Amino acid sequence: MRIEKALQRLAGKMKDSWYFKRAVRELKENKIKYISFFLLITMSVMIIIGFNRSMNSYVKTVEVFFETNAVEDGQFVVYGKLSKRRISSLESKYDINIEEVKSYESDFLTDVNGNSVSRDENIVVRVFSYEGEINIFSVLQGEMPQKNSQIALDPKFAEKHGFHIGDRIVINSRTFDITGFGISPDYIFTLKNMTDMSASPETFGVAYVSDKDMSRISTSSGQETLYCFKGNGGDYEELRTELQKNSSLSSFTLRKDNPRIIQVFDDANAPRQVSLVIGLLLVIVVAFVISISVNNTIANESKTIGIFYALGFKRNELLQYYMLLPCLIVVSATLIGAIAGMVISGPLLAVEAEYTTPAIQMKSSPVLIFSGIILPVALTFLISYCSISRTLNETPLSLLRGNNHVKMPGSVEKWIGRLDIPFTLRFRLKSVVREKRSLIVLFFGITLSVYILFTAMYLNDSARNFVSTVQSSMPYESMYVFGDKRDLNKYSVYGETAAIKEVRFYDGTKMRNIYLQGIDRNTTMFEIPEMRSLTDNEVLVSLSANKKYGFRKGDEIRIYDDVEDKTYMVTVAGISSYDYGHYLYTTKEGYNRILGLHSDSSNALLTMHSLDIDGDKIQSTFHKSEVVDSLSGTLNMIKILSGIMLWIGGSILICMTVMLLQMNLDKDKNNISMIKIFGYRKDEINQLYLNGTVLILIGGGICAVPMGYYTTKVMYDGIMDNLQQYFLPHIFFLSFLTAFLIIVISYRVAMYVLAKKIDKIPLTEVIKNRE
Amino acid sequence: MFVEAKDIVKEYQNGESILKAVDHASFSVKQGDICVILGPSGSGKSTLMNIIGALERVTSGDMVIDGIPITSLKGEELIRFRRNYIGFVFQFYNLIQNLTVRENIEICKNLSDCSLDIDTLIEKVGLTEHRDKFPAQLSGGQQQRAAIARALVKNPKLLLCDEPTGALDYKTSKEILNLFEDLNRNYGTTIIMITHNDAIENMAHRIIRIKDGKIVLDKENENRKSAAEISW
Repeated sequence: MRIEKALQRLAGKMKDSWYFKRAVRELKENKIKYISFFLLITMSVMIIIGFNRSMNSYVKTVEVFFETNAVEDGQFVVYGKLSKRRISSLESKYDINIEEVKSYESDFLTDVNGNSVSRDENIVVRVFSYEGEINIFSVLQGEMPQKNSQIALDPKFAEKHGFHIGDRIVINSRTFDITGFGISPDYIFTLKNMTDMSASPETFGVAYVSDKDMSRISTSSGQETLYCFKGNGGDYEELRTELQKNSSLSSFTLRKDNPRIIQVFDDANAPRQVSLVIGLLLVIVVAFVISISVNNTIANESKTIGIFYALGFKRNELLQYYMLLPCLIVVSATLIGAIAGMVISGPLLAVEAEYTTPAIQMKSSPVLIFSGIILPVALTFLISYCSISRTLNETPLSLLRGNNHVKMPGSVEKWIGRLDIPFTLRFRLKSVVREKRSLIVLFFGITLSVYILFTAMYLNDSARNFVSTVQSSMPYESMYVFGDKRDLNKYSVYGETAAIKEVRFYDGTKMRNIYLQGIDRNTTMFEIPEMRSLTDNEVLVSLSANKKYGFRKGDEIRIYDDVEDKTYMVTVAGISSYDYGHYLYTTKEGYNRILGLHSDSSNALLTMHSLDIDGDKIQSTFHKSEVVDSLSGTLNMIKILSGIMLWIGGSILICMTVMLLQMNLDKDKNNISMIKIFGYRKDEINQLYLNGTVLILIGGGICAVPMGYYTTKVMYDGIMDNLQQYFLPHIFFLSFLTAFLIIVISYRVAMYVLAKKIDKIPLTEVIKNRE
Repeated sequence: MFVEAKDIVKEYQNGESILKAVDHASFSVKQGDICVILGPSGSGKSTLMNIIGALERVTSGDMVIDGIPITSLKGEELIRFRRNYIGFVFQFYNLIQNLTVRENIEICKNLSDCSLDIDTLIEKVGLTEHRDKFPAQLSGGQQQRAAIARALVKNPKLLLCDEPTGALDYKTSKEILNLFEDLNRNYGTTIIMITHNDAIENMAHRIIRIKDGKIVLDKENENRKSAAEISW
């Protein structure tokens, strides 16, 4: 109550005080300028708080989930099984726990009503046990399965296929009751294959049952066994080497290389960092704008300040008065921006919609509060304080005479004055030099807004272009990798046989995965004529791998085969035009020669249509349509992000141009009124005072487009670091045109507002002003 | 008559009351005359000058200049009229600070097809040595000379001067008045000058006194003196 009364007293006092009334009048007179101020600050705070709160909370929640659910440090696949003794020996040697991961991959059989059973060969459910101690399963909705014949599904898969808690599902002839939806930390990015780019709940999902049920449904062929391990961190390369030497290692993947676990961080970091940079740049630009505005106000008010001083006002009273308006605006805009940021931080989580995580606990970190809320307010306060203090240090007489603000033109202006060029051009050039401070800030503001616009376009178009690249660059619809040559032979009439193996190489920074693919010499699917002339160990590199790693013709690459624990050398004979995935292409003969296999060895079938093949017979599959479908979801998210960025970019362009040019116009009010009296027409006045801005816009655009390209590259490079995909930023002509149109329209809107402002300057202004 | 004001009324809404700044004013000025409008502060002389200069609209009445009824002109026509007919000189010069004397004059040169030569004009107003200086480097008198040159460069038929000596000392004021007289003689420019200074009426061909918006005196000056002869 006491605080309330004090606030009421303060409000009453402020309402009645002359300086509050004067501030309100100033606000009304320059409402467009102050609204622009307000919007810019609100937007920058909203961007910083919104994206960072959202992404920070997301990352934090995932980290906590990983910690509490004992996410693995890595996993490996061996042919056969490791003996208990061997496991114990490895565990004690490397101070780790090793756990066998049983899984059953089922074609999806539904029986919601307990009656009809339908089968769809394109949908796969991978079933795990929920009773492990590494990668512990958590139920996110419903109940944990407690006993046999109960199952939990991953929520995205369940949602896509309309499963509800209490429904039934049939897997390998056994019926399960769905008790809940949940996930284990090793599948929060539910990729069917680690090489996939996006999750596809339409065709793939995971499920969790008891150990006992797992044994019942699993029909282990005994070929390969997956183990996961967890220790105290550290380097597990020795473990890999030992497994290569003493066991039949098929694959070895550390957590940091496992996109199912790690990709979420890359995806969250990219927008977080870019939004932080954009937001902070915006705050800095706005702080400069405020400084210019305060300086202009003080310059215009210097005589009034002189009068105040002469009347006996104290320095502190004047300081309070002149800081009132900028601080009020910044504080209120910051608060509203922070609230807006918090409001949008929830919906922004949609950017991460591909991942399955526990409910996100929204938290604002101290750094975030500092950079998003305290920094803009503190910057404004500091800049305003310094600008005003400097003027208040002048003597009353000097202020009354206005001596402090009579600035002699500098040498550049004098030099321009001597140029033999038309008067209007000379006038405009001089104006540019005189207003260089505000025009530099305007340049940065325009550059920033155009940069945001083009980054939005690049982000969207690059992903769209990638989808069309997949569609045009994959010469087959499906690829099936068989474990047994006899199975391959059985289906070989339906397509073209090939050979494929995932190998690793060192790119100078770390080990990378890449596919070595052997293609039929008489292929009807691929168009790589130069492949026929490959000799010895020569390979052609896919365009995508070349873009990422920058291979050159003649380069020798040392590739590692973890399964055989062997090293081979291949030579780059050229770059193929196929742009999807990281591949080293050669003929089947070349492939067998490089790996030292029998000359007619092959393990893959490439087909133009998907086939109905028993899952037990296939090691892995790849369907072009799945990739395209799953990318469509990602594209929608990017589209939302781009839409927000386009809106923000356009608004900044309008606000920044209006605000800064209006400040210059305010300074030139008398001159504009005067040249109106002389008989200058509207278009001539606009030409003198506004049209020069188009050069700043062009300059900003020239800088912003490559910046947008580079930012997109950095963002996608980060996202794709652990994926066997790569694409360079791309922009479609139509998008370029759209961005250009948004810029032109925003600019025209700003010019329209400013032309109106010029129009409103009364002819008699200069006559009225007789001070 | 070159300037003919017929029953001019100018009213301003001031809250609920109406302020009559010019109250049924009628007068005329011959081409090539110097006309001095005198009156105390708030008498309506500036409003009258704004109406003559097509800066403000009348509430009623007609203002005709060189046969053009300017009170019925609109938008672009008004701009064209000011561009071709009127030159303005202000009390506080209003030179653009980052333009040199020459450039300040140049700003108006392009407005007219029959503009005068800048350098000749600069010589006429005695600023040849200062042509490349900026306003802040000039004295008040020199700045007013530059402002007069700027007003004249487009060769206006009518020069309107708003307290042109109001901010100047006695000696400089006399120099400026001399300059007006010379320009009137040499270029035949009609000059209407508003001032507080009663002494200036002596150099006018026509004297108009205004009080509370009404014209209280409108006469030809039969005992006209040269600017050099007058003093105050």
